[in-house]
Amino acid sequence: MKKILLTILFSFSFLFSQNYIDALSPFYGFKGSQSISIGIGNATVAGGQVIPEFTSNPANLGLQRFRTFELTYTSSEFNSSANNLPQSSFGTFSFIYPLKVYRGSIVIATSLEKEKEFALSYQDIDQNGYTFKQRNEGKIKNWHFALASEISENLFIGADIIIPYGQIDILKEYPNISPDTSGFTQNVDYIGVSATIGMFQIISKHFNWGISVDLPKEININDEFTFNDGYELGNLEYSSTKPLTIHVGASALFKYFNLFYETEWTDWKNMEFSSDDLYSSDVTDINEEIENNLSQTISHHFGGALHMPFLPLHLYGGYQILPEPHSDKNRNVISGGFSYLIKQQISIHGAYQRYYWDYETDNGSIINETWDQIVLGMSVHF
Amino acid sequence: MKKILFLLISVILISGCYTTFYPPDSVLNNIPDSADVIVLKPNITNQNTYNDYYDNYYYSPYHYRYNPFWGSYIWDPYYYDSYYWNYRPYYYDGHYIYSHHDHWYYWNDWYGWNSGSSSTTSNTKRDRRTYPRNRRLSGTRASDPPPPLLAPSTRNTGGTITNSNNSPSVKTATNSNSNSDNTNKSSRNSGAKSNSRKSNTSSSNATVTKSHSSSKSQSSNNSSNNSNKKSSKRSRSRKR
Repeated sequence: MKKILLTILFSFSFLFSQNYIDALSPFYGFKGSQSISIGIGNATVAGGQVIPEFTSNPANLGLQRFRTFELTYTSSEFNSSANNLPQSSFGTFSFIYPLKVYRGSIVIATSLEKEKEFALSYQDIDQNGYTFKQRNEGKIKNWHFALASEISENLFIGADIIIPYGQIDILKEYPNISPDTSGFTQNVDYIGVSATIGMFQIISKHFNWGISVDLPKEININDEFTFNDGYELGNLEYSSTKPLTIHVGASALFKYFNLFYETEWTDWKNMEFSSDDLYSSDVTDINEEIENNLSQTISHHFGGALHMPFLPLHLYGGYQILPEPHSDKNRNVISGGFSYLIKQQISIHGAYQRYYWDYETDNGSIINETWDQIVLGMSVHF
Repeated sequence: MKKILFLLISVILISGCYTTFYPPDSVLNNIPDSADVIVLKPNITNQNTYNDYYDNYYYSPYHYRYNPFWGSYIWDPYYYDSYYWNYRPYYYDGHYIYSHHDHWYYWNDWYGWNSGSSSTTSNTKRDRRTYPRNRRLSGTRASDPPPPLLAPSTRNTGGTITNSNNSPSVKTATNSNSNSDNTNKSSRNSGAKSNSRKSNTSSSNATVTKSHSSSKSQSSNNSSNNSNKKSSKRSRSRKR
C-alpha cells in the first residue's frame, strides 16, 4: 500500500513537475573539451590564425593553413562542500582540411566534440522536511560539419551544421524513507539540430574582429523514470528550443603575444518548450515560466596567449564571466593552457579551467561550489 | 520564397567570392607565350603547404619560426607572425605571383629552380597542366633554409606588373644573387631569423623571362650558382 501511494505521489510530482528548469537544463552545463579554446577562456570568435580548432565562429576555419587532426581527453570533478563528482571521458576529435584553390581559401572540417558536461552532487532538505540526495551526471556531444571560405580579400565567412546529442542520468533519493521505493533514476536523452554562421575580418596587420550567430537550437528530450526497485514509471517526451546567440569579439595579434575578447548575448526569454505528451495548458504554463523567470544574459570572455621566443611553446590564459539566465548570479571561470610542438608536425596541448560560483541553499546559507577540468590532447598538422 | 532567397544569396556569394577554384584549361591556353614566368621560392623544407596553385607549392611564413633546440626552422600552427599579414599569391598576365610586403615568393614544380635559363624555358606554361603532378615534397629536410625574402622594393600596384626585367622586385632579386651563397651560410650559423630570411631569399630566387635577353643572362648566372640543387630537383620532378 505504501509503495502504491508513493508511486502515485511521485508519478504526479514527476510527470507534472516539468518546469522551465527542465527546458533550460540541456543548455546549461560546463563547456569545453578543446585545449586552446579553454586556455583563452573561449574568447575565440576572432581567434582566427592561432586556434586550429572548432570555435564559436566557423569563419575562423577559413584561416587554417594546415590539415589538422586533433584528439583530446578530459577529466573533471564537481565539488560542493562534502560532495564531489569526478568524470572523465573522450573530449574532441576533429579534422580540418583546407582545400587547394586558385585564390583565397576554402576549408572543410568535421568534429565530434563534447560541448557540455553536466555534473551535480548535493544533499538537502526538501519543502516537506525530507532529506534528499541528488546526483546528475552526463554530457552533450556535438557533431560538426563546417565550411569556411574567404569571400572577399581578408574577409571570411563560415557555416557549421551541428547535431547535438547526449544524455544525463539523474539519481534522486530520499534516504530517510525506504530507499527502494523512494529513490528513482531519471535517464534523459537529448538529440537535436542547430547551425552557426559567422564572419571574420582581418582589419589590419594586428587586428581582427569576428561575429557569429548560433541559430536556434532545438533539442528533443526523452525522460525515462525508473524507481530503484526496478519499477518503470514511463517516459515523457518534449522539446526545448534555445534562442539564437550572438557572439562578437576582436583579437590583437602580435609576434609574441595575442589578446582576445568575446561577448555573447542570449535572450533566454525567447526559449520555447513544447510537448505532445503534456496538456497544452501545462505547456503554456511552462512557457510563461520561461518568460517570467529567465532573462537576457551577456557573458564576457577574455583571453591571452604568450608565444615564447625561440621555442614552439605557447602559454594561454583566460577569464570568463557567465551570468546565469535563471538568477542574478554569475559563474566565473579561470583557465590556462599550453601547446608545444614536439615534432615538426605533432604537438601536444593541454588546459585547465575552474568554474566557481556561490550556491544559496533554501535556508540561506552559502556554499562555494567548483567544477575543475583538465584537458590533454594531441594534434597532427600536415 | 525562402528557397528562392537562399538560392539568390548562394549565387551572389559564389559569384562574388574572392576564393576561386582553378580556372579552366581555356584560360591557360590563352596565356601568351610571350608572358613572363617568374620563378622564385626554391625552398622545400616541409610538407606544410600554404596552398597549391597549379601544382606550385607555397609556404606560409605566417607560422614559420626558428627553433634553436632543433637548430632549424619550423612551421608552428599555434604561432602567427603578423608581419606577413598580406602574404598571398595573385594572378596577373600568366603569372602566379606571391606578393607580400614587396617580396615575391614563388616556386614552380615544372621550372624548378632554374627555369630562367634559356635552355629550360622551352616548355610553355600550359605544359604544367599535362605534367604529372608532383605533390609529394620528397627529399625535404628540416634544416633547409627558411622561406625567402627579397630585399624590399617598390611594389607594383594596380596590376602593373609586366615584364620581370622592368620590375623593381625582380631586379632586386636577381641582383642579390651575386653574393648569395656566402650570405646564406653565415645566416644559418647565426640563427638570426631576419638575417636568414633575407639571405636565403637572395640565394634562392631566380628570375625568368622569355622575352627579354637581359633577364635571361641574369637568370643564367643565378642558375649556375645553384646548379647542384636545381639539377637534382628537376631530375626528380621529371621522373614522375
